[in-house]
Formats: sequence, structure tokens, C-alpha cells
Amino acid sequence: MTVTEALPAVEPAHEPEPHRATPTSNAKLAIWIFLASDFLFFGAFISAFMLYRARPQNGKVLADVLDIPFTSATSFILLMSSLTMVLALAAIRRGDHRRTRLWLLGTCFFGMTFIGGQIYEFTSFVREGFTAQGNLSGSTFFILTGLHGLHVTIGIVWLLSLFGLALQGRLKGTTADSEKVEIAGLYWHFVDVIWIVIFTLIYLIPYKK
Amino acid sequence: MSDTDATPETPEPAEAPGGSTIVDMVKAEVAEHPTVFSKDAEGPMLPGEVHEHATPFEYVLIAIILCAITAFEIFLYYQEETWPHSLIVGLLLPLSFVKFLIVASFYMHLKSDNPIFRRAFAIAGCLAFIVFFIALSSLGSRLDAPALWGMLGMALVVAGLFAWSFISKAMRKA
Repeated sequence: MTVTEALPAVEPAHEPEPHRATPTSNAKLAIWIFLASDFLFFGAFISAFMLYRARPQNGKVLADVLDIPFTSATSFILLMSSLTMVLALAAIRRGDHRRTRLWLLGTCFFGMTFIGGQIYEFTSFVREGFTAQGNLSGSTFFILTGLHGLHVTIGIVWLLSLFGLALQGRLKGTTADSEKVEIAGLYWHFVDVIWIVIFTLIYLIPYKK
Repeated sequence: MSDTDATPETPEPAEAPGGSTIVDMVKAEVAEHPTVFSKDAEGPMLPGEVHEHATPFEYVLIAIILCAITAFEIFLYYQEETWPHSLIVGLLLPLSFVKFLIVASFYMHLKSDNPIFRRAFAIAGCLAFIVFFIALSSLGSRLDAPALWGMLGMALVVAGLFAWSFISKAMRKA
């Protein structure tokens, strides 16, 4: 046995790993902390709405103007957008750029349809006399659903920017690129789970006559 | 016995002309797009990923389940005149909770990612519930029967999930 064979194999020199507080990436941990804080934010607004939901109010209340078939359709659309978002992530992880662009654009389309539906709903509510200034139920409803709509709009802008990167060929399917799509997806799914709660508590639970 | 009788029948290939059954179509789809149904074809694991994520096919199945639950929720809404209010609320709240859990577990990958995310989200969820109940109880709303039904339903769902997790772990060990 030669001296070289007897020596243990020397590992090749590596670039020093950046310091991380957890075994995961900082960006992903940051988005989760943001989502957790946003969860509390929505929790406070949902509590405020529920507080005034069943109380007698002056003027029209939400139960008088609700259009459940229409809101159900927009809820289905938002659910489908979550599917297209997760398919975009799966596609970029496979290196399938065409499908990544397709699913990202599909998610934006569904999101914009949802926002269009919400604008239409708000307009029809105001036309029928249920306004943010009318009573506390109206104020809490418009603030809560409007805040959710704002989140969806931010998500659409975020996804459109990712779509732009993908069109320019700057979203290549590396782990870092996949993580960009995953983080945007986490935000989008969060918006979806908040809508699941809002849809049940505000729209579906029947108002006692 | 003749030679013809002795020869076993050869299975018809999936892409055989005229094979238009659903099974044939699914087989052909799998053959054409193997990556859609396979976890192995995906790229390297993402940061924070502990177990592999679901496949696109599983994501579609999950979406179908979510749509079915939503359709049932809408059906419940229209039973307001015939079913007791408490029963409707007692079903709607746990169903919403189940949908929430499904999206968070599979689409947000809490099931397969680092547990630190799950803990952060669970703590925030618990705090949000505490805010909810403090607000409702201290500012004049009382917990009525529907709310109690709903909470009981959610407690049952959580207990069921714990039981399922415990049983599946025990079965894996066995």
C-alpha cells in the first residue's frame, strides 16, 4: 500500500456556507413569519365582523343583499387558482418552462376574475343600499373583504412579475428560481385559506331571521 | 386441446387503435407524460423541504375534493328552511376547517416541509382563535348553540386527525 492510498481522502475545498439560523432558507422562513402575522391581522378583522354580524343595525344588513350563487362562483375560481399555482411550482421544478408560464398566467387570470367579481359585488351592494357608512356591519364587512381583495391584488402583481421574468427567460428552474415561485405560491395559498374562512363565516352561515 | 386454445390471450396495448376506454386513456396519458404522475422526476428538494411534495396528479385530486366540499357547503346553505340552524352551522364550521387544513397541508406543503413552518402557522392560528373568542366574549356576544356545535365539530375533526396520525405512525412502526 502506498502512502497516498493509506491517507484518508481529502474533501475538495468548498465556498463557505452562508450562516443560517435554521436549516431552511431565510426567505422562506420570512414569508412564513409574515403569513403568521397576517393571520392574526385577519383574525382581528374577522372577530370585528362577527361581533356586529348578528346585532340589530340601522338600515340594510348583509343578509338583505347577499348573492350566494355569484359569490360561490368566485370562490370556486379562487380555489382553482390555488391549483394552477401549485401546478406552476411543480412545472418549474421539472424544468418545464412552457407549463410554468401557462400556469402562472392562469393563476393571474383566475385572480383577476375574482377581483372583478368582488368589484361587481361591492357595486351591487352599494346600489342596493348596503354601504360602508351605513352601519357597523357594513363598515366591518367592506374593510375585511376589501383588505382580502387588496391581498389578492398584491398577489396578482407578484405573479405577473414572475410571469415577466419567465417570459424573459430569467426563471430558469434552478432551486433558487423554484423557491421564488414557491414563496409567491405560499402567499397565494394563504389568501385562498383566508377566503375559505371568510366565505363560511360571512356568507354561508345563515343569518337568524 | 388445440394449439389455439393453449395460447394465452395477449393483453391489448394501451395505445392500441380503437382502445377508447377510460383505463386505456389513462394508461396512454401516463405513458406520454410520466413526470406528471411521478415524484422521482422532480428536481432537487427545495430549502426547508423534508419529504417530497405531492405530484401534480395528486394536486388535481385534492382540488376535486376541495370543490366537492365547497359544493356540499353551498348545498347546506340552501337547507336553511328545512334543517335546524345549529346543525347547519355545526357542519359548516368543521367543513371549512377541513378545507383550510387540506390547503395548508398539501398546497402550502406544511405536511412535507420543515416542522418549524407548521409550528409558526399553528401558533398564529391559535392566537387568532384566542383573539376571536376574547373579542366575542368580552364585547357582548355570547356563544350560542350554533357556535358550540361548530366548536364541537372542529374538536372532533382535530381529534380525528390526531387519531389518524397516531394510527398511521403505529402502523408504520409495525
